[in-house]
Amino acid sequence: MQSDRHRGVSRRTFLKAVGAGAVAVGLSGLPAFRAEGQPPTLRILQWRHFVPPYDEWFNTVFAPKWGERNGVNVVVDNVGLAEIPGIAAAEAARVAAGQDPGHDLIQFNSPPASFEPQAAAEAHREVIQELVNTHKVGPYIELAEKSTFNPVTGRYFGVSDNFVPDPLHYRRDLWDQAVAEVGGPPEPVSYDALLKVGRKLKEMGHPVGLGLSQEIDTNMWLRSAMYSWGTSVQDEESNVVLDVPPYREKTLDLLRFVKALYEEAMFPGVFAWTAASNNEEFLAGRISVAMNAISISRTAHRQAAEALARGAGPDHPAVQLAVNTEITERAPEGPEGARGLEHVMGVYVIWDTGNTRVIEAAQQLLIDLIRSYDPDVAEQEGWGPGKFVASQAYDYPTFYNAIPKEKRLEFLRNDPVYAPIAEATGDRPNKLERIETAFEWAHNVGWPGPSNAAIDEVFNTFVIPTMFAKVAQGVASPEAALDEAAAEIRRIFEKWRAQGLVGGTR
Amino acid sequence: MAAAPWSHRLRTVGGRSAHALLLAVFIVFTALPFGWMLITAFKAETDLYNPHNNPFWFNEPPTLKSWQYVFEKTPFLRWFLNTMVVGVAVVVITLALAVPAAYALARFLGRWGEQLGIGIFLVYLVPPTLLFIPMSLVISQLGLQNTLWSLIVVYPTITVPFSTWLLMGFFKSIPPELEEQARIDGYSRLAAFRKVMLPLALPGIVTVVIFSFTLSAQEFVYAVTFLTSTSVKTVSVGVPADMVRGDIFDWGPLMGSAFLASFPIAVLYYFALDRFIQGFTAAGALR
Amino acid sequence: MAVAQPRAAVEGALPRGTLWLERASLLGSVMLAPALIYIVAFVAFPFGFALYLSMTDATVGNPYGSWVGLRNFVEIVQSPTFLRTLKNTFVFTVVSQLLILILAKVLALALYRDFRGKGLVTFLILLPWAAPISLTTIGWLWIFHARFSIIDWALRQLGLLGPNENMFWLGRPSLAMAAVIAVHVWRLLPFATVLLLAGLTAIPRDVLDQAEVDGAGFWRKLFQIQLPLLLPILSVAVLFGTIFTFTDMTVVYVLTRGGPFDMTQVLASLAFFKGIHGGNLSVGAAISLFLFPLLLIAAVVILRLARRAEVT
Repeated sequence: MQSDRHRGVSRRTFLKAVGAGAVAVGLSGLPAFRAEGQPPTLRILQWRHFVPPYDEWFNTVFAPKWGERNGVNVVVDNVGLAEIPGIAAAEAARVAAGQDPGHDLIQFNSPPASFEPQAAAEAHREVIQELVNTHKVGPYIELAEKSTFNPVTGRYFGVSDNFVPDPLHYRRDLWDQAVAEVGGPPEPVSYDALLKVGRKLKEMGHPVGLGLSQEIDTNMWLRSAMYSWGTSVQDEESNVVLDVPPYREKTLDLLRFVKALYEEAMFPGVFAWTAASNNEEFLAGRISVAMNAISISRTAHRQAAEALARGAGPDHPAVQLAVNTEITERAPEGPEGARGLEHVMGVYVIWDTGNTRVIEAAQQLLIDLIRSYDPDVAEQEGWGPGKFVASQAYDYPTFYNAIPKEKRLEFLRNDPVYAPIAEATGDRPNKLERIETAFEWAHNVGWPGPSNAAIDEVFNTFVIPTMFAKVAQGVASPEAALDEAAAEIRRIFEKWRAQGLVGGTR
Repeated sequence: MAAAPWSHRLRTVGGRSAHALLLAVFIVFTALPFGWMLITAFKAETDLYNPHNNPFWFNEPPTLKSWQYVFEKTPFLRWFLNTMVVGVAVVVITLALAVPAAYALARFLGRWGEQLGIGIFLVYLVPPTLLFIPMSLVISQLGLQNTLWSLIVVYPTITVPFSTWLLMGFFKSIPPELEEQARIDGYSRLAAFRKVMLPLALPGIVTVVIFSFTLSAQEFVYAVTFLTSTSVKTVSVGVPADMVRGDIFDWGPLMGSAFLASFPIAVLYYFALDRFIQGFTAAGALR
Repeated sequence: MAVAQPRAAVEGALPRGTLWLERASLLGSVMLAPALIYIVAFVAFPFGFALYLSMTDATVGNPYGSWVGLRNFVEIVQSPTFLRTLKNTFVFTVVSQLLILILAKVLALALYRDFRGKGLVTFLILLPWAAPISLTTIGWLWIFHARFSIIDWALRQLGLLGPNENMFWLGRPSLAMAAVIAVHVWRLLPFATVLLLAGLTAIPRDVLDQAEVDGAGFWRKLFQIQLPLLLPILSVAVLFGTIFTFTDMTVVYVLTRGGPFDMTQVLASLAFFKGIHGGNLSVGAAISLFLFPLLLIAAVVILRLARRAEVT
């Protein structure tokens, strides 16, 4: 497989030739080498991954070995998730000014549609085509397509390498106990059940924990609820619809439902929610339900493993918490469906610097990185265990067959992180296997339309959480809050339509 | 036993305890967060995540895990060193530029100086949130991106105007007669400035030093966007970047670093404080 | 301020070569020039560029945009969020400065006395000023945490909160606003205290003694002697704190991100969310520069008044 890796990539084969001399990887900010004959430097900016072993794999195994193989000097800078937009804005301005941006490849954690004018869109398209056509790791799933392709300009503003499913986490022991008293489904499979069983859970001192604050988790679950209620910010053509009949009544209905859910099943802490809250509250055993990436499960597993390592028995609270932490099979169901979201959308952007050697190196790195989802491919290339295993199944492939389904399931069925805990407690080791269903229910921010620049601004200025929080806290009527939010959203859409980046007319 | 001394003593005792109580309240407000940070840095994670546990004491045995993380997994000392380097360099540049400018405005340039001073102050009420974008173009043009120089060059743009304005006030409060006397004694203008004015303006200069250093050590937006390599970061940027993973805060290491970064700087300020107050007293004695 | 320079009297007494240094306006210009050139070189372009941005339709991906005049400003004043933000910025600044002034004055008076352990007390009070705000605000995030708040824990120990009750500091609008103000007061109080303490120390003892002999009580001493003498240094503390509070983004950005529902949003944080996270660079610039024209007008008015006061 390794030998035909570069077949059909004649434009990039020269990299191999240059690669004869191995180059040590420097970690300081070296300037890009531009002269021919010298190895190019590829500077990557990405987040400090939630799963520490992933950074270890990427920075100390994949990047140096890949660089050595391809004769590219790879430099990786890891920064906090929240810092990427600011750095990217400064770099985009440099690209536009014809300066050296500072990095050549940036991984965003949400679709960076507004950077499209400075992104190497053609290079992105080539990467996707090569992965799908040559390496047959496709299809490029719809969630990824909608998160990286702008139908108005026909350009790919990025290449998505991963998405992180956003399932509902719940405490099995508490849920069972509440259901035993008030009845209901065995799992929180619908919003109705959340409300009904949630009342009891709140009474028991373990309320439902879905944020109503200006942060990512709130943004995600409220959209998930909107989609399941049959409403959304925009339609397929990027017209603003949340306040337009027939969507208006659905949005209002959901606003009223969320107010009821807050009053009857939640607690004022949801207004102070931060990105860390659902982890903290869940792990402290205070809340019974949360919507989050599998970070809740993973942190519970880690704390349980630490307790076991200290010699604690299976009855230790930290161990029991891990055992009782479950994810649901799909997103909770609303009146019009059970639709969920991604929690993190990994999107790589190559800056359009005109420096073809570096751009081609970035393309090749992305191709090899995505192919390295498959543990066997990664092992063969000499940079195992690959993206899926290193991220402990946190990074889910956007190229459906980058790691074949049976290999995904094989990993999840005998999850190496949870298996020791399962063994110590007699629990089943495949707790996270259900994450696989995310392919069926995970939608993009902006669904049913694309994740465009206007959607991104609405998302990042927390218009939707503000609308719901005002109604839930009783400072605005559903109608007033909706009208205010819709007016703000229209202002945002008009701006981006004038830029020629967003479609729709209303 | 006369009544008078008793009541007097009672009053002083009462006064003393009221005084102590007042100070205690303030210390709780200012220093208790640091005490809590220090304890948190030695706590096991599961201890922290229990709302019934005393946040100010160990409910589970203390652990060095957080400190191991800070010192073994992150270049904390390097960050601290970077912060000091930037701080000192900014202080030096600020003094070199602001002291003469302030003197000139206070003594030679009359009302013009006052207007400029107010103008400068008002301009600095504009939130600098977005200035980092054009500023990054300048930095990139100079080839300074991702080096400590980027901050050393940029921070004086914030500290110099404010310091100039501040020092201008100090220079003006010094009676011109003193200087005239020095000149009558045969000093040149520059010598009069150096020998008479500078020592008298010392409290102002110490204020400027503290202000500039604090600003350089605390600034966040420029530092985040200009410094992306781990090895060149400052404390205020490196710590959050390395100890907040997605939606998980590493509370132990975070609070340990916050404490560790603050303590030595507070010691420095403490020792600067005496000079600072002495300087004021000296200046005040002139009135 | 009058600048009487006995120029002619002195010039003759000095060596010829340095004579130009004795010409007040020339020396003044020479001393001012480096600072001025530095500022203009580094600030003029960024600031001019930011002003330009606010009058274009620029975005993060299209950072040069095209001219739209004052449209962004017209747009933001129609946004209830912006108006709320504008109000918050002023409220936070004014309230925290008032609190800082009062508390710093009380604390400075308390530290003015000699007592055992004064050094340690002073050190403990200085701490917040030395701490990087981006880190300590993360600490405050936990102190005000919806569940683990250490204040709530203390209240529970005192029996003021039930065993599983919480205040939800950052989840209730008024408490969240109080929390933001508290952090500003906390970080700026030490510096204001030190300034006032230095000012107090500088007031000559005999002035106070004389007042006491004249029968002045605590309040009369405070208002008629100390405060007027402290005025210059008070104004330094206030202006300094105003700049730090008014333009600060970190506290709100870390603590509440503007929530609950924009009740703690300030200009600097809103500009960052809109302009950088939202990609709407021009509107972000307009938000942060919104006050610039007003500040400019204020500057001109103040200067006019100052001039008139000087003439009469």
